[in-house]
Amino acid sequence: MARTEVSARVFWAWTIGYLMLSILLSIIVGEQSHEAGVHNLLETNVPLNVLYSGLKILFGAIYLWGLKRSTLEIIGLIGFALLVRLFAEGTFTIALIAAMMGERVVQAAKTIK
Amino acid sequence: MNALLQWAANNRPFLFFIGRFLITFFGLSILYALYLKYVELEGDLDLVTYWVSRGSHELARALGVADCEWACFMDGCYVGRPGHMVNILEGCNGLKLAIVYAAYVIGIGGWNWRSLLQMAVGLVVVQFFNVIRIGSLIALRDGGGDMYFYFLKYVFGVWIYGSVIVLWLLKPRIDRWLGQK
Repeated sequence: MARTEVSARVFWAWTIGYLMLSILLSIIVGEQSHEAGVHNLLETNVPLNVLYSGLKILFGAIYLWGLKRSTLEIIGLIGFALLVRLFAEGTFTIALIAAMMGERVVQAAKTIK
Repeated sequence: MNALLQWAANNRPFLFFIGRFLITFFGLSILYALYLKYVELEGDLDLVTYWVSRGSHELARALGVADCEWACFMDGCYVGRPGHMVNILEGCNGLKLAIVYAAYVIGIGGWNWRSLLQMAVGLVVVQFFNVIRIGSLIALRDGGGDMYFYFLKYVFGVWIYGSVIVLWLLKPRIDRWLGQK
């Protein structure tokens, strides 16, 4: 099964864009919490929490799709990031980026060998 | 099933990376959780939050926050001038992010002395970036105005995540410096 690799420029454009968008989403929730006068609105508003989590996963899936991952790879990588997030809050985005950076490094090392 | 096995055969290095990443991540997370449980039972504050708060306090003073106060309790620390204090909780100490950084380093390099050395130094460096983040935040809060909110919401999130990504990018250079082929 041949894998389509994106160029370094495309990889970083997607990665930085994804990181910024993900942080922006957290900022919006922070703003809303501040306006509502609570520490974290997600802890009390369940529908908002579901929407927030859904958007985070959707952004992650779009990021992986942009890096030419297959549907099964996207599902597996989202599962990996959710597993990491389960034990450390605020790490979903960075775990996905770590996986994609790691993949590039190990695939490049394999090609050199 | 065949497609999955074929995929696994083609991506063995990546699967080993993910395996090492998860083992390191869970190992360090469990150790940290046990430590937090221990300090909670002792009625104490964890040392990471303590040192991050203390470093932030020193940095804020160096940045010109006069009469900067610093007080720690079981649930976290308060740093800054009265009326402008920043509350530093366990979740703000940046250690969980540092653990993700360490898991990546071991995931790429494996369990050898070079990776372990980078992991140990990296854990400290991520905390150093975190101290700069919180220390600057205290100084900005002391100054008042919109800058505090601007930095809190927009700049510091990018700063701490960016620091981890930059450290990951530097890893191949550090490997070469440490003599790895």
